[in-house]
Amino acid sequence: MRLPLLLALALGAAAPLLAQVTDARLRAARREPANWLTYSGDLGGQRYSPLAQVTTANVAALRPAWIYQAAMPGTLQTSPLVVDGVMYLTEFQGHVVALDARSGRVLWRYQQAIPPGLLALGFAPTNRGVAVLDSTVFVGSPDARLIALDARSGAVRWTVPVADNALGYAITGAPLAVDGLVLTGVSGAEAGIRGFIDAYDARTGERRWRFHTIPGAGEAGVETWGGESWKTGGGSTWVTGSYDPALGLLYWGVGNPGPLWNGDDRPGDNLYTCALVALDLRTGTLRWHFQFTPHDTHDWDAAQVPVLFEGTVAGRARPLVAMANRNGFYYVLDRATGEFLAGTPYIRQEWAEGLDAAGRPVVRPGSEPTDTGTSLAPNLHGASNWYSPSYSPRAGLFYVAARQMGSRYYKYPVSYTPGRYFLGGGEAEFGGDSAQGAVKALDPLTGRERWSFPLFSPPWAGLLSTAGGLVFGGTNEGVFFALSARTGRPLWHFQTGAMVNANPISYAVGGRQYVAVAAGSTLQVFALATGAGRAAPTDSTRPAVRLP
Amino acid sequence: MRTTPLLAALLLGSAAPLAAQAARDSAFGPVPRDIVEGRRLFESQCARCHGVGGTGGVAPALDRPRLRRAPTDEALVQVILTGLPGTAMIGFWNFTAEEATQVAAYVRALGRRPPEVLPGDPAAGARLYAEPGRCGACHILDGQGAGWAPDLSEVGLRLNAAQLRQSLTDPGAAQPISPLPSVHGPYPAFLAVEALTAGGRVIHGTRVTEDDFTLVLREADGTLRSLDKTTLRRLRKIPGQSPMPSFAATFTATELDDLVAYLAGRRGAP
Repeated sequence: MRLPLLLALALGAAAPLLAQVTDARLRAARREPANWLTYSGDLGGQRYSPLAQVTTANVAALRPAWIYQAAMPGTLQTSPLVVDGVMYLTEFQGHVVALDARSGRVLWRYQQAIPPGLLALGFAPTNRGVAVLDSTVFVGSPDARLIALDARSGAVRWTVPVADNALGYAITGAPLAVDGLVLTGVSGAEAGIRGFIDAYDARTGERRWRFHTIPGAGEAGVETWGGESWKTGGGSTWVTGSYDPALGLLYWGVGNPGPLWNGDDRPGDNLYTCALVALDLRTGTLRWHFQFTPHDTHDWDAAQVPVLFEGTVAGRARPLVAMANRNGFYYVLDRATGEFLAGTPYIRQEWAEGLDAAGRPVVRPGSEPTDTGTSLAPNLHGASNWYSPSYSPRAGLFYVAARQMGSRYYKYPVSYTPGRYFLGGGEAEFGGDSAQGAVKALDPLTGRERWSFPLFSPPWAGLLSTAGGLVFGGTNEGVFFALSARTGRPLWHFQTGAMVNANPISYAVGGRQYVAVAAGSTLQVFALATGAGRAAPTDSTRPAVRLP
Repeated sequence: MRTTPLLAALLLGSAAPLAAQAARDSAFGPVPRDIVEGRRLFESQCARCHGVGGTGGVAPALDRPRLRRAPTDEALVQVILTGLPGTAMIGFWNFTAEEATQVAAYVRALGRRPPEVLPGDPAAGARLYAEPGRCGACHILDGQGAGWAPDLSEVGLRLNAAQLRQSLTDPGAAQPISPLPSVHGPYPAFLAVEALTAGGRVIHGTRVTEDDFTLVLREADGTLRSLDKTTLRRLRKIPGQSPMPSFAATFTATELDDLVAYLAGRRGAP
């Protein structure tokens, strides 16, 4: 039973370096457990590795294999890709580095040309990763350009301006490349942008379509914005979306409205902010949407990774999409239709009585920010954030790093000036020992908690589940850890020396499984100590390669 | 309070709406626009770490007459714009020079304090402080003394007379705060903890640092203990306690006044 995995590993290692990453390979990323070809490891956003060399039985022997020190100062939030033995990662401000994934040695480096006077309103000019298609690597820039690099040399193939940084637009998320297209979101709602998702021709950089996350004059949904408020309606698209090749649908989370805290001048639901949108990949047209937080005034954007999986609901097999939303609720939707199927709070939230039959929150009176402040949980950073959840098809569980803390929300008057903050308030968070976190395993169909591993403080790092029966995660205090995917029991941990503020991945080179995560301005890569249990497969090491 | 209406509004009414506050203040005189604008920026950009009103949080309190890393107004603007390397203070390159100046003006307003009239005799307070086995057994002041309690060389910049008095008489309620052990501070700098080990031993101490797997505590005699939390049978945290004893019954009212007067004058090198 171990043979298919070993075969895959062997093939991965024997493949010529920098082979073409075809669209077919991206669609079947799970068939290449040695590689990590997309932001989330597969197009469905699961962040699950079918590798099973590191298991619950031997993870205690996990040791550092190599460490990469970033050239740029600044905390890495990158989620690396690994293609046939080569790792591509981004540093602060979107610089790209290609490394030998076995040894950590640098192969090439691409330095962004950052213009003086760069605007980064409401966030640091971070970067969360690249996309790869054929022999090209795609990366966004903090001044809202999209760049295509030759995967062998790092040389620029093309650069296109996506939006005007002078208005606050920026790109921090990893692009998604599929079917000849490169998709990218933008950020900048904190400066009152009008957000969108763009699709570019991967070969030429020519723009194929743009989907505005805020409908314009004459478009459906504009009636959910008072007056002309849609023009500065925000709706960033920070975080890499997911794609279902069978349905041809792209799923992307939309950010908060502008102005952030003061909703007085934008009466209505403010579509499609704080919503999940399903777009036709070929045309960019909206197939359906589901809004988690209508008329948001707490910064609870839907900038979380939408996770695609299959499930049986009421006796019927259905294609599903789940999101552990920043507002504190876990949602399950039918991903073909957008139908709401389930919604459950996964932290202690204080703003909604619950969800109605359509999944719309029943908001508690008095939960809006005010001049004198309104205290409630979650805080502006939410119950989850940009970092990734994980779904294990093997364990049948959804994992989320949950944040439990409250905040006092204030509202101030605000007016729009291009390229300036457009916030209308602020918050003072309740920190210290009262603020905590947890890794939670949820029943993917209902959101009911199966187990919870408490964290000392509200986390800022994503999770990875593996076929070895493990869930990897990180803490603000610098600990990178492995839990039993079935029980949540801690099995291994390592002090990395800096805050873990990134998503882990797993890959293999030469038959050896690695687990990698960024911590501070380093990338730390772990593998089993040589000889430690690698030749002693147990039942739990059986590979569970499940195809999408 | 012998403070100006503006400062009173800024220091006390930190949550009042700006427009209403400006109207109210105008009865006493114009509010400098820089300070009003600076406050707006501060509360949306700085307060999350430095606290609403600059009272401190994850990042240091800024309601101080002197800021160690920003002794001059120019230096303060520079810190705001370019940050402090090696700390969590990032440069706010998104601020214009005018906005940085406005934030700096607001921060300076926070630190302005009315002079306090202190009844005690600082010289008498200094003698009490220096008595053998007293404060210097745990605190360092101008390089003298020993121990792991807070350095008091600049305590007069950090605490006003009422806070100094509370520190002496009810230290558990006057806990200094610390950004450690995590990014989501503030934490009490001297949290009392009680750990029950697997072997059945009870260890009392003060938390030095903590994460999910490790607790480092200091026992009363100064011994550091690094504990693996996963092996503990029980871990209890006891907020509101301080390793410092109360001196409410040790000193007379006059002596407390003297000590407060002495400590209020500890403002470091001029």
